[in-house]
Amino acid sequence: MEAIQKVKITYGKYGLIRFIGHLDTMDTIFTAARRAGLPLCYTEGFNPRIKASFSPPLSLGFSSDVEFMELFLNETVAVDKLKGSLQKELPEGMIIKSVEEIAVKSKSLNNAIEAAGYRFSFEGFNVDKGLLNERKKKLLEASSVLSMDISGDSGCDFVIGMGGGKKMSSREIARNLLDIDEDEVKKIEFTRKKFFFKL
Amino acid sequence: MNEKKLTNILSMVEKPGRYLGIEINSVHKEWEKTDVKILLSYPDLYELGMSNQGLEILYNIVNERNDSLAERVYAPGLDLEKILRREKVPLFSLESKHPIEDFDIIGFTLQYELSFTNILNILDIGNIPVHVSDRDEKHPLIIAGGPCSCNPEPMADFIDLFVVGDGEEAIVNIIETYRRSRSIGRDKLLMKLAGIDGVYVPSLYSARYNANGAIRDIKPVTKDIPDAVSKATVDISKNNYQAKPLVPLINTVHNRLTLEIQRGCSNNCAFCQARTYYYPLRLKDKKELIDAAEKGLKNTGFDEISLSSLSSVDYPHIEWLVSELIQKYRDKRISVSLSSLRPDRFSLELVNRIRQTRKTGLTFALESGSVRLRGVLNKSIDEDRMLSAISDACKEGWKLIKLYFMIGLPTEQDEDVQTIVDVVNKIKRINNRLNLNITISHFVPKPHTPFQWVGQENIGSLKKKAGFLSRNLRGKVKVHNVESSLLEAVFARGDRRLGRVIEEAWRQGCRFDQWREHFRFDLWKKAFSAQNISMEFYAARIRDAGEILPWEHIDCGISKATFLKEYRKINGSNTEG
Ligand code: SF4
Repeated sequence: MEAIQKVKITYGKYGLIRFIGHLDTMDTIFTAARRAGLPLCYTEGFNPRIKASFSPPLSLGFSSDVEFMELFLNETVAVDKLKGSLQKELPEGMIIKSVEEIAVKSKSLNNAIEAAGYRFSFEGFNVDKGLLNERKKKLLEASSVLSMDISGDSGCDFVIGMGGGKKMSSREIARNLLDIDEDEVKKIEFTRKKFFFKL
Repeated sequence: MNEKKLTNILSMVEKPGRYLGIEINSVHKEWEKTDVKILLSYPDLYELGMSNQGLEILYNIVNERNDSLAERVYAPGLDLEKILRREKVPLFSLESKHPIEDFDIIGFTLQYELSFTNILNILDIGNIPVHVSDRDEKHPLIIAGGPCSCNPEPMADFIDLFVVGDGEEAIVNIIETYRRSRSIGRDKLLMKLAGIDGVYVPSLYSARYNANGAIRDIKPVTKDIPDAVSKATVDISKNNYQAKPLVPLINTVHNRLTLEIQRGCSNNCAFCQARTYYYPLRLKDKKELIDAAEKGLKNTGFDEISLSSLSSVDYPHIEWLVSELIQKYRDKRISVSLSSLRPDRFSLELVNRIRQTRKTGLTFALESGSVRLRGVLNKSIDEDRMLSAISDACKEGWKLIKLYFMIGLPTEQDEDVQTIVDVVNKIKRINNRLNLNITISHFVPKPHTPFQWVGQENIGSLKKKAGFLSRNLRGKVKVHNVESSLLEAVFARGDRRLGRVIEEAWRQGCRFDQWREHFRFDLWKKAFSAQNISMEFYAARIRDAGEILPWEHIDCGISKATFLKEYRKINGSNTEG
């Protein structure tokens, strides 16, 4: 079946559902889409899969404001209707932000992502602004962190580039910044705030 | 539990997805406003427990009632257990996150003997005394059901009451009796509950033993209690509780829609306990199954329907059902699968139809390669028809065949073991490129079967046979852990004295005994010797026909006399063969 429509569904992940990993999140959306009765497209072969692509994996335990999936459909569906019927079937904590129609032949947005922005809160940690600024400087020099904002007292916003520089996970960045151990960093709740796309 | 604490705990475990309780179709009722709170538990990891249909049926029955709620708990993974014990947080239910000790009733399903230590562990992490005798009014009533309850004795120290047989009506009767009598005191309540069909209260019976260790008698302690408990049996055609199955949010053993098409089995394989436990055979209406599939798919979004029963090809309308379902859901890419195919009777047409949508291979439980032994097992298979069917299947493009065999069967000789190699070779000769996955398990004599009197073969000789097969079978061979099979044999036919060993082993650290990586036979051996109890007495000993068996007072619908007749026939065939 040819796809005749492609939609970009942007959704957030909050609360307990952030403890579901990438593949399980995909399956969860797929079963929801089936329950919602969407006109889905499938891959060929003995093990047909729903045709879709997803934003890059989000670490287990992270919240997000900006996850997205691109879904192919074999009938045209009004975006508002799709949003309503899919939202009804999603588990608690998965919130659809927007549904937009995009060109069926358009390239997967995934390839255009240059960087991603994250945030975590300082709640529960003693922070010394001077020390933080020093560590921030080092991180910016030595890793793929493109920018970092700790000007507010409540937390840290940072952007990780997909390209060069020493790859560091968000948790490693927080560990370095706050000088804490592996167990402590697990208690921090991170949120993916933004994707930066190549033009 | 407050949210911060919960998310902190979830952040620290490897698979937090097991403990969320927000699956699609999970039911969250108002705690304060509901009278009877029931916690249902499959005492193993979530990924396994979520595939149990019995528990799900009960979950729906209870939650449909206005007066009660059902929530779930599974065995916490070792990492979560460590955190809960360290932080002194009692084990909590998945749905409302209430400590499990706050429930009125906790119901465990007993699917296999090697889950017994997990039950003790769940109670303990939940702050509930493991012994019946240490619990009082403030503790939940601990109940258990499922196949192992056809010999409940080894767990008698830990379980307040067992439900033997089908649970659908028993759970309703228990709730109603509980509501009426919850305030009359635990002992009196148990007396009342003992009057329900299929309910067995072990503390109301006492066992005495002969000098040789065998049982002298098991009798009720008061005269108002029946001498024997008959299992509960329901009419499964009446109700449909399969319409709103839970949809896990993480990958589990079976993320699919399971439809029970019949309960019970029309065959009489002599080693099989399930045929007794689920006796008699009852069918679901075929039209209602189509309806259930439609509702189930709509409510779950699953892409696979599994038609499940002990022997699905024996369902009289199986061909019709499969083709209807495949036709109806082909466009939606929904596949249909069957549990348990019988090798001689499956119709190739049927299998091929399934294959259009299905992903895995063909599975055959041959049990033995020897015609004589299969006769002893009362499982005759027409080998020629099987081979020609496999040959046809090959032409149709099937590439994987899974074969199941048992070793250590009653009257088995070395040449019988050789026949396993022979039959595999014959299959391999059909097509050399066929992939064979061969699973070898060890025969475990089970209660309520014609083999309940026989002794299990010793470990050394089983290992030799398994070694021979591993060297000579052409295919991927998986052999069950022989020590697990030994323990299974001990507990399957055990009596209440084994409670001490179960407790000792659990205190030594045994849990998840079903899992190869967690199974600690060394600790079990220690536990048996610390309690001065012999494994051989239970596993290897041949019982006299006249001996009182530990499950003698549990009536599962097929009489001892019937089994004895079959047993004698087998012994007869032994002397002839
Ligand atoms: S082994 Fe299978 S076919 Fe045989 S009696 Fe048991 S359930 Fe039925």
